[in-house]
Amino acid sequence: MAEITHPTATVAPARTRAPNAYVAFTRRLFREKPLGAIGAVFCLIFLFAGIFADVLAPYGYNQIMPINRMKPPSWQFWFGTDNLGRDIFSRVLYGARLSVIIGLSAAGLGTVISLTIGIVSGYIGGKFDMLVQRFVDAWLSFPGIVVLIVVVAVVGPGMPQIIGILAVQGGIAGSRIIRSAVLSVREQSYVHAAQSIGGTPSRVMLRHILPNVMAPVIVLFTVGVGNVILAESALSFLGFGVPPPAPTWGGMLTGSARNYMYLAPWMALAPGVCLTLVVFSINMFGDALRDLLDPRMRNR
Amino acid sequence: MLRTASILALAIPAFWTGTLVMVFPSIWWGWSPSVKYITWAQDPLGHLAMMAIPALILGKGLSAVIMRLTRTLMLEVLRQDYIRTAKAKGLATGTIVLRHALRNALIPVVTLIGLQAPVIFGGAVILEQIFVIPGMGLLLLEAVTSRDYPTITGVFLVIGVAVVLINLFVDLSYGWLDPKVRSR
Repeated sequence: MAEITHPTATVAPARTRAPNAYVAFTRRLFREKPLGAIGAVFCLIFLFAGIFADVLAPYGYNQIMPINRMKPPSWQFWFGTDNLGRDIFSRVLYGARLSVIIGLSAAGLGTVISLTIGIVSGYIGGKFDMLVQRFVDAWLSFPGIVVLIVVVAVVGPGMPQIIGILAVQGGIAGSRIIRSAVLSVREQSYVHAAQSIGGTPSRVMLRHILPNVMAPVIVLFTVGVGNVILAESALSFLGFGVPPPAPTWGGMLTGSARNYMYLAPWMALAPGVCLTLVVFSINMFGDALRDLLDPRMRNR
Repeated sequence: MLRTASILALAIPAFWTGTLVMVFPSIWWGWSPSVKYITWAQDPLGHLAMMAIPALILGKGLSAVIMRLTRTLMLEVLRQDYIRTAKAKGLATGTIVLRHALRNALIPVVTLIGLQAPVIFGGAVILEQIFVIPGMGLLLLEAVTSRDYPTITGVFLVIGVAVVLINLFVDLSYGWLDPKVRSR
């Protein structure tokens, strides 16, 4: 039934019908991938929590209430309070904001890096491709977290540095996927046609190759956000993330908090649950997107 | 279902699982994983037991990835003609799955294991910090905080060599798994 009513929406939607295509796509997401749709809803809640943390949080993220130290979860403090008497619910909300900012910007930047490396390397090919891929190989043979720690130790902790490093790390790793997509698009007849009518390499890359590798790019970006959030919290956990007063989810599980967790176990719960839930729903959503965008996977 | 479980296993950060394992058993049952380092010479069994929990936590994330890939490949392989032939010969399902299907699905899986080698070292850094195991990860963390560049370089060199060696073994194992590769 679905494939009869919206044939244009599932194949290549025309520019003017774009809003319609989005609606149809959302409908397909909910009908065919309910888990992915739940993931998408959770992502939206998380995004909303991050954006409106100021309004939603009952207390400031660094508001210290010495009387209310290590209070268990209650109506006044939903997730309890920590060893300094800070409301954990508020800190989790502000932590969501940091994760949103770092996740979106680092994944966005990383996707641009992936696209640049992947398209140029895949399109030019030959010796250049060989050289770039060996560099990528060498980069990938070192554990991401170790490279991150060392670079943070050298350039010093701080938001911009962390976003930059996470973007480069994710970007180089993701360039592989883009490159393999470019390799198959490059051999299509419309690319040969564009080349034979005298399209310059940059024109072919931007106007013909780029739009046709968008499906993996969208998935790469979605999953990238989840990976970046995980990597950032691991960094914060090891003490190399955004410096302390800022409420990062990884940071809330580490440092002096660890000494108090035996007395106040709820301190260990909320940040971890949120982190898991967010990364899980992003990946579920990404997975559903991959299935919907990739025609070969459609009947699995 | 399996897919959801594997995504969930991937989404739970190792450092959180580690923290929970440290904190909650001690509250509920008054037991917590030992953080005292036992050398191999003192007590070989104790040495392994100490590593068991961090190893399980580290393995959880990796197994999720391998599980998914193996599933996809098995689905692919089980549709092949030779599986139908094996079935027609009247072989037991277990034999078909293990000897005919799994062996043919294994090469990409082994490749993936090689690609995951760096992840193991990265995860070790975090888990060694939680369980206070004086391994290379903790050494690296200490070296980074004290700006000990020669040590950092050394750790990187060892990790690099280890990853290359693991991938060499992976390449060699192709020959063992697949007779077609062996003849070359």
